[in-house]
Amino acid sequence: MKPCPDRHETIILAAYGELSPPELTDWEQHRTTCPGCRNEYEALLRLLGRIKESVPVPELSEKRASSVLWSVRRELRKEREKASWWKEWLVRPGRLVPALATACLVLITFGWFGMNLIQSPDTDRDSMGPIAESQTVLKDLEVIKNIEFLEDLDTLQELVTVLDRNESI
Amino acid sequence: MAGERELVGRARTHDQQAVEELVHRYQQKAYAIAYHFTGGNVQDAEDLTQEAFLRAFQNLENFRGDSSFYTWFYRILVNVCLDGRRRRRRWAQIFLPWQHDSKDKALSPEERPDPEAHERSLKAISEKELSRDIRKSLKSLPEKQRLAFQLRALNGMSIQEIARIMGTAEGTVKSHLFRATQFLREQFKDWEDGGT
Repeated sequence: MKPCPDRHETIILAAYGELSPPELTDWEQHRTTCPGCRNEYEALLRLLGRIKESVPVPELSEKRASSVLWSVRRELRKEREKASWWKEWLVRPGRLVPALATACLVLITFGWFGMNLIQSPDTDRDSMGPIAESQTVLKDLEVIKNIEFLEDLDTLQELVTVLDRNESI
Repeated sequence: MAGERELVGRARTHDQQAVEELVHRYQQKAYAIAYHFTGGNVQDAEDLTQEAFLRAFQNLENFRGDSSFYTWFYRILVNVCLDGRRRRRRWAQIFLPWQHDSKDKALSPEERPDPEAHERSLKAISEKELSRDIRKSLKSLPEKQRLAFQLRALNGMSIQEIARIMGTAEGTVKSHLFRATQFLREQFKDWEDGGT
């Protein structure tokens, strides 16, 4: 016999003991009169019991329990030590003096070398070198581009010279 | 015995005794939850329990005391367990071929650890099979349904507590619980009808 279709949720909640007092009273009354719902409820209770038996809740042994506790304490101590290291640096800035002095020394040294490099005349020439070179290349390119025109000009000049010579004769 | 609030207050100031007391109070239940989450893996359950306690003590400053410490802690534990499961699933996806191999090997009758299995009583074998089937069915449930079912049926928490831990309404927990139970009832109808 099947349970009442509108009682499915009630049956499940009853099996988990999650019905409110008025719901429970109503359910108890219904259960006595409906064999379908009663059978379903009992079957569900058996199944839940079986599941609980089959998947037992394990006990954490004394040894394992202390191992968990020990690990938690160790990790927390590590965290605290890490945090206190940072705090010490922040709270006592005097500890930063040697590091700052070294940083300043490095900056001054490199700054001095840098200035020397900028002021040296070799540097000027070297730095102008690539610009001059590129300008020469541009000029050469211009000559190559107009080479035919220049050749024509030479020919004309020679023609004029020949004509002038003929005229003078 | 010190109250929960007092212990939490002392743990905030790094009182080792308070930390120890809180761990002692909740570690058995926490371990049981983690154990079911991992499908019965003792080592993983221990690691997850430890991780949950660590996370809780690291974030103790954020505990406002709106709920009880244990509800707050179990919520952390459930999140740690869910993260752990997702991590394991990702690893399983990466190493799927190897996993399949090992599974096949585990199931092959020649390599079963107990060669005298056939000599055991039929009842013992069916119990073992049923237990395996139950675990398998629980595993196949959607995450939230499984969580609600596990916390209610296996860990004995009330729907109200589960709702707080899961951060949802009681009605939603009821719905998850209802679906999970119906699914399991359907799965094991034959077993019930068989009349074991």
